Amino acid sequence: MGSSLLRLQHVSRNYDQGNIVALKDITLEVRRGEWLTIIGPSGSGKTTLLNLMCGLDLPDQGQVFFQDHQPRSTAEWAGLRAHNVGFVFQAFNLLPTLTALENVQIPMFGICRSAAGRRQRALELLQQVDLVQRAHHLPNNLSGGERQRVAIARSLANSPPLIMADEPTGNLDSQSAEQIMALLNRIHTQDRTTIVMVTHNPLVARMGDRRVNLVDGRIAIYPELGAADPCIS
Amino acid sequence: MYFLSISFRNLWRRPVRSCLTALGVAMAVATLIALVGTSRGIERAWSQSMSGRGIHMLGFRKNSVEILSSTIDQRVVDQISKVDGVKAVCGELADLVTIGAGVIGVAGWPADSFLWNTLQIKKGRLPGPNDPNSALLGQRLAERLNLRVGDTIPMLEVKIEVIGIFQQASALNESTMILPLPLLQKLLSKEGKVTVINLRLFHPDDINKAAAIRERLNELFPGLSFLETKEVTEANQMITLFKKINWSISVIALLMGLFFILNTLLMAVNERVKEIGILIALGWRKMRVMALVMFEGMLLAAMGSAAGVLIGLVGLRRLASLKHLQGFIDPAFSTFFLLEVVLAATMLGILGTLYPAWRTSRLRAVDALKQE
Repeated sequence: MGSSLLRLQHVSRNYDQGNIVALKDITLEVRRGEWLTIIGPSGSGKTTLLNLMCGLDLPDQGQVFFQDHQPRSTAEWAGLRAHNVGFVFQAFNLLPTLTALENVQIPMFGICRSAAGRRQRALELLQQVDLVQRAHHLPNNLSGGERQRVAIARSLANSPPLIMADEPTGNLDSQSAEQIMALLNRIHTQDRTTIVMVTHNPLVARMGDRRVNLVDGRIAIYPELGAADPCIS
Repeated sequence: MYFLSISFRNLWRRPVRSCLTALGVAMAVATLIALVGTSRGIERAWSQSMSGRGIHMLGFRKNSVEILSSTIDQRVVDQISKVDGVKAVCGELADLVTIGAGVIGVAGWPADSFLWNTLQIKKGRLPGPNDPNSALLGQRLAERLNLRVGDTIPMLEVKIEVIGIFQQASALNESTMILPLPLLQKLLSKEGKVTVINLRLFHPDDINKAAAIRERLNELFPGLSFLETKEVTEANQMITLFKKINWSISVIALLMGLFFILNTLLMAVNERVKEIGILIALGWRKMRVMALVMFEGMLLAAMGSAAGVLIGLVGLRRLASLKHLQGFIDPAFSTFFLLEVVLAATMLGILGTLYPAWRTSRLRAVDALKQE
């Protein structure tokens, strides 16, 4: 496995003036090229952890390092996300007024300056997810699986080293979920793209090199791939 | 896809609301054009009126609120004509009267006035010694009243015969009826009085000489004010008051336009909190998201001002053609004026977007993404 891409050291996050502890003293490393799966029951702090890992939220305590650099502000994190992090959300989160082709171009603003360049890259990405024929459709006219494939194409827009997937199959039927997982797996194996995936689906959780089991805001089990995992069994 | 396309799509998402907002801006801009254009049209008509007659200086009673309210003893004219540097002098009686349903300007000139020579007679002739009850009509006025040479106009129990129709560069002059001075003095019961004194100078282009003559005249006739023609419009209190009122109404209209944009964008931002969160999550810097909102406001302002310029131009022409205002407004627009309007509308767009854009910048992606 490669060098450290993302590192959390003694990270805690509280809400309601400390009355609700979302995450407690989390120390975790994501290595370049690995697939880390974060599992845990609803309310265990999985999404909070994901948000802290990419600077959408800032910790109350502890430090988050991206490529051994500690971003200090949300603005710094935004620039870092634009170049280095692709997002796949459970609810797809496509912009409803833009077509599939246009949605894929959104992360490229400020990075690829030419409109023609953005369009060309977006078409290539839609080709990769086998959706070129649906390029000019609005999200409302796409199925759930197609929307998530557009979201995956969008996450690859700036060729980021890291993809964060928050319950990527949560809103999909089993067949679509299988396709999405196969697609993510292909991206991971072909490009050695690092993937951090949050899920509570035991079948989906089988994917990946390592699993982190989160319970009540703490890492309960930190097994290597293949280790017995009571949550999954 | 261009950045501007995203703003446009966002506006098009609510076409009725966006169009109504743009219409609100359009009405504000149209009001600005119509009212300020009216003020400037009046100024222009006055200025052209004097330059068209070859007048270099104008004398009127000191402290007159409005030039038409000035009353001067006619005998002063002879005394002024003896001042060094004054080439010619003409006392003129002027007023507004109603004929039929419309208001028209009337002017009385002495038989020997140099002003008669400034008229370009299209039909008929100038009045002679045997035409005591005659009048000359400007072409626009003749068309408006549908009068021809030989027709008569009843005015205060006197039947006045139209003996000529003239043309002049000024819309105001072309909408005026000119009568022999004694006739108008009698009709208005102002025997021996004139309203203004028109002066021609020997060296009008010599600023120093003109200023010296003006100073001398102000000394010799302390009850009168003498101004060079370019200063007369500014000194006219009625025009100044009219301008101030028009500007005030225009500013109120523009402020309303600003609030239309502000309100629409605030609603738009509130509706799209989650989408803004997505953009931030995808790495858009807050400045870029703010720019997106600001572009939306500026697009609304641009669309509104384009429509407003058209509505304003059509409205002002319509206003200028109203029976009561014909001839008093010259609805001509300078490029500079239209640039001023476009600039005002752009400022409107920018100002209206500042608060919604600031609200956007305050959003936390993690909270925004939770919104449904």
